[in-house]
Amino acid sequence: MGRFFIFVGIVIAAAVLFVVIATSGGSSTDPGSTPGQGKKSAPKILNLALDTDPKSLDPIGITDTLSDGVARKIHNALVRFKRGENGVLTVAPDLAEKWDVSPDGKLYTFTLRKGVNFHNGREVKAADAVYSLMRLLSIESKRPDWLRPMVVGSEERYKSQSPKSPVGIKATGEYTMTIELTAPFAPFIQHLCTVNCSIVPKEAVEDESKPFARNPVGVGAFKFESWENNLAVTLTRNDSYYGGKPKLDAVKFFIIKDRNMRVERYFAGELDATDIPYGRMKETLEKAKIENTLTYDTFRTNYIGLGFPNGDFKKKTQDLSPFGTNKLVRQAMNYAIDREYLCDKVLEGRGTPAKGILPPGMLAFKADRKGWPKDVKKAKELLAQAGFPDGKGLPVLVILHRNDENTKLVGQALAHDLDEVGIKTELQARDWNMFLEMVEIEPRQCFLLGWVADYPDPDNFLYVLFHSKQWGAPGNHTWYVNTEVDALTEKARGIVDMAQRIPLYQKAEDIILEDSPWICTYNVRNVVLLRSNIKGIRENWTPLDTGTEFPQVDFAIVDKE
Amino acid sequence: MQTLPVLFGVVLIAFLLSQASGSPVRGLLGPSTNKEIVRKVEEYYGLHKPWPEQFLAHLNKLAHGDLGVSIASHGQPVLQMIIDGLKVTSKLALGAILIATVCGVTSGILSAWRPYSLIDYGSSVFAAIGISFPAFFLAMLLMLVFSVSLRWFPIGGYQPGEIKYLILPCFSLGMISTASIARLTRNCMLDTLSQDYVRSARAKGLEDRSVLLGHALPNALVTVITVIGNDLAGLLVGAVLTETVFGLPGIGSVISSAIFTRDLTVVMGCCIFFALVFVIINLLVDLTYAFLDPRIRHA
Amino acid sequence: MPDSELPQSLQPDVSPQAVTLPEPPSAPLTAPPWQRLLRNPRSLAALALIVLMIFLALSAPILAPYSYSYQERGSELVSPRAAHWMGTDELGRDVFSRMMYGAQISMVVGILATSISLLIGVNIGLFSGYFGGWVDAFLMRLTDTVAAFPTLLFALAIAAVLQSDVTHSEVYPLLQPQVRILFIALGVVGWTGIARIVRSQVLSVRTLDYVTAARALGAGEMRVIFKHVLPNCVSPIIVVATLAVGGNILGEAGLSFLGLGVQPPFPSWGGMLSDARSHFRDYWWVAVCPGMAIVLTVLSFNLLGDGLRDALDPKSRS
Repeated sequence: MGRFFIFVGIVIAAAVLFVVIATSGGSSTDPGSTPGQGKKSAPKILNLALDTDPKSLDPIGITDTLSDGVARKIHNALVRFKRGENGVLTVAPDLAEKWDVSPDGKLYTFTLRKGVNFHNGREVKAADAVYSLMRLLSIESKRPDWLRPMVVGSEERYKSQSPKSPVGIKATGEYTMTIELTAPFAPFIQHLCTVNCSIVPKEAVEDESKPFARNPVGVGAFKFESWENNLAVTLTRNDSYYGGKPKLDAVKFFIIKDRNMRVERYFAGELDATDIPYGRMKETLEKAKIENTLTYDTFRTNYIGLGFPNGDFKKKTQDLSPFGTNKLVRQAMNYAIDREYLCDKVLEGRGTPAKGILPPGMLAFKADRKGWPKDVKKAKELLAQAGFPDGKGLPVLVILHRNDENTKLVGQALAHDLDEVGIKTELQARDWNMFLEMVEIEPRQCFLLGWVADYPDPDNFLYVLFHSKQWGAPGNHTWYVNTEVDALTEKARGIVDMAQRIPLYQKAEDIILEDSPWICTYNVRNVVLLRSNIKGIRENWTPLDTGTEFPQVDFAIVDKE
Repeated sequence: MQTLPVLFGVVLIAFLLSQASGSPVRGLLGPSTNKEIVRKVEEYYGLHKPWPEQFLAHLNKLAHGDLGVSIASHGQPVLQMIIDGLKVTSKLALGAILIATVCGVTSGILSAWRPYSLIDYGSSVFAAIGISFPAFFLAMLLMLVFSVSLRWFPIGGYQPGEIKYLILPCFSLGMISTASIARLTRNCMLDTLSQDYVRSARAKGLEDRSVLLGHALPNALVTVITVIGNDLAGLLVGAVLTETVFGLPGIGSVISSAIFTRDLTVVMGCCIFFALVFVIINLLVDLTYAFLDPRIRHA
Repeated sequence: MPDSELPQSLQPDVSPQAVTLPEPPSAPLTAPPWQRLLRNPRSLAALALIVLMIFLALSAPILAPYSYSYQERGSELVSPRAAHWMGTDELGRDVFSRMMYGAQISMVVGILATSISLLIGVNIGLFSGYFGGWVDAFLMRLTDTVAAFPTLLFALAIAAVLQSDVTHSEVYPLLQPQVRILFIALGVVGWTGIARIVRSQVLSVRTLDYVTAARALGAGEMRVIFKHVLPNCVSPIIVVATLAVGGNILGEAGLSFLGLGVQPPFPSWGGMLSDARSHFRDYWWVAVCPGMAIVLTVLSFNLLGDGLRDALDPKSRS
């Protein structure tokens, strides 16, 4: 009997231990003030959610929109995007109070603001800007192509990694600097607006005791406070922010992997904004009232890409035909897809049917394009014209795509539509790493991908994704080539005056749409919940924003009442 | 000791697996980059060296207790990620084992007390069904019933310090072990009860309960402990799936996202860390055996 | 590891699921095994269910009310009714038909994975138990190493590694490379339990008289192993193999749940559960139906395994 009681004793002790540890560790991630509390006493904290930890908060290591969103509150760059009237995005001064471009378009001169301090107290000088930009060419940088190959000496420096290799980025005074390009390049100033080009203090980067990617020091409206893995990232107000003291006391990003949970926490009052889970759009919108939702269009086009046997891959002509060789087949596919159903039912309103390559709102977007309303009859006609009546004689189309829930769903809906006109398909999902490797080593018969604009310039779509120099990894995964498109996009890059560039891009897009290397499916529209007592975001979102982190919104003016 | 070659084998296999699965760098850079950039970043992480060299470097670091850094998270130390994940998973595991042991042993005792009766039959049916459940399905069902319909518990998620987020996941994870523990307890107890010395004790007038709890049970516990020890591997697997369904930020999520983003160092680090833990636990189980059973001590 | 050194009575039951149902003897011990099996009501029910599942799987292309990929636009997420016995999923596909096709994957993967595990595990167990010495030590350390990896994660890692290039194969989805990857991965990590059981059986068999006699008569080692020792191990092997099929079906469900396995739109039970994750809170049937299918099938294999254990060797019951 004695041994039995020992056993019971151990079990009770274990139970107590369990309760003790289970209830420990609390309080550090309190949601903070709940809406409705007295204004004076409770701190104003904006509670947002992320679905995973940021990858890095070091500007040169950021490649995903989530990290971008968090980092933007901490870091500022020389210039930033601002949403002007009629919603057009323009480049506006940030840490640089003014800049000039030489008449030949090759020399940029920046004058920095005086009296701006880093979070560690030191003043920002031109030397810091030079240092920060040069970091983009270092070996661990993930985005060297904001500078290379257009900046003088950047290519040699990146290849050799030698500190002695000269680069055309120089500080010409305490607060002035120049950047020299090898040739005029219109979108360059927009490159400098990206989070990767943010200005950081050298001493903080080189402080080995605090790895910079997880302990960022910047110039922004909010200072980095803490980052608990899988739990939360906390930012607190920078009282001496040059743009004025922010209205919020802190911004807290909770890491909540599951969408349903984010919504639950929102309705429980713990979050101020959240995205909406798939399958629950209707119920969620009903439960939240209309003033608490925000719908905005993004600069993102999703598409079905078809590979062309060009360049080194002429030998793949057999494998890639007729989809990559017969224009009529591709045009038939365009009319077979039911974009309305896709956007309404499958995506539950998170998309709008695409009518072209460029997303609406982008410069050079042609609003009067007709697009491709679903027309099974026309699709079948085109297919017959192509020599494949009712799809007879067509090989099975293997659709390669990323292995995630949403893409799989979209893929199956698309397969259904294609099947209706006689095109048989096979879906193949691969994980993201493998998928990217596969579409960049050779043109694939068919793949699903999307493109998010890094900056609001048509060059980012039409040159990067359709120029023959960009075959493969740089962005042109279809191996498409058209000499006229090449010439148009090249010419447009070199002109600085926007008005002159627009007709060039519009013509290029016309040609591309006629050739249809892409079956453009939809432009992403975000529908999120955002409490109506949050001011400043609704009025200032931009199509470059994604999710609920709102990287482009100036959080210094965001307020929570 | 015997454990060293096992550990080495684990490290080697983990390393080979990560090598074979390719580099995670490509996926980190997004759909527009070029080979140069990919190569440069890989160089930065030392991924371009031939694999024997990488393996030796890795062993060297291990000897210093350094599990490396996570590539997908731009340099976060793997050990730190494991410890952070363990904060949650250990609570989950402890709770699950507790529930499994308490429910399982109690059920086993009841069954042994009245073998072949309705209670026995009922609990054994329950047990048989219990081990047929995929861990995540059970989690989904429990969530459906208790969180969505009855609203007793939050629908997943986690905040440290709040036990309500852990209760359902612990039950879900524990249920599966409950079944095998219950059966094992019952069978071992019945085994002991049918032995001669027990019968003679009974004949001498010793109370039923005393015999049951004082003799049969401790013997059964010996085996139960081994099962728990063995079950720990299964517990980790169950934790991965359970954490996915309930959205708990534990080791399970660390491992599964590392596998999908091909974060080699994290996968390796986790494998090594856990193999070590299992080996140690088995050692402890052996020792407990020796402690509890005089027959072994003198063997 | 303890089990190789403990006396018999203290060895924990290392079979995959140490669960046996209480079984008042219902058939004479002298009756042949299959009779004993069939007279056991539980085993009979289990066997019947398994046969039914296999039948549904095989007859799916003919008997299923809808194709597994047919999307009935406008009938998304409808609850179970006459037209759709188990309702529809988010793309309007009939859940019941998809379950029938999904049975194919579960059965094939379960059985083939177990076959691979048997191939590896039986051989390792035989050689280890028979030869002893350093062969035994090496093989057992190998077994421990593989066993130290949590099964599902190991299989996940292997499956992720084996992902292949995309080529269209004019084959039925069941024969896709992805399915091959599934059962290879599961088979390659699941043999440790089998090996240990075979080994302990061999240890007790190899000292038997007629085995020693065979060796004395000059029979080659291999011959002795495979013609004399192996036949004596058949009973526990059958039992553990049956239980392993159930375990591998669970494993397949787990791997499919995490994203590996057969490509959509071809269904697998684990894949259906995974897809159901977003919707099941409001539309329970998309998760409960495939889930219960898994539970019932695995349960049947477990019950069958128990029944086989009783039928083949009643003495082994605790």
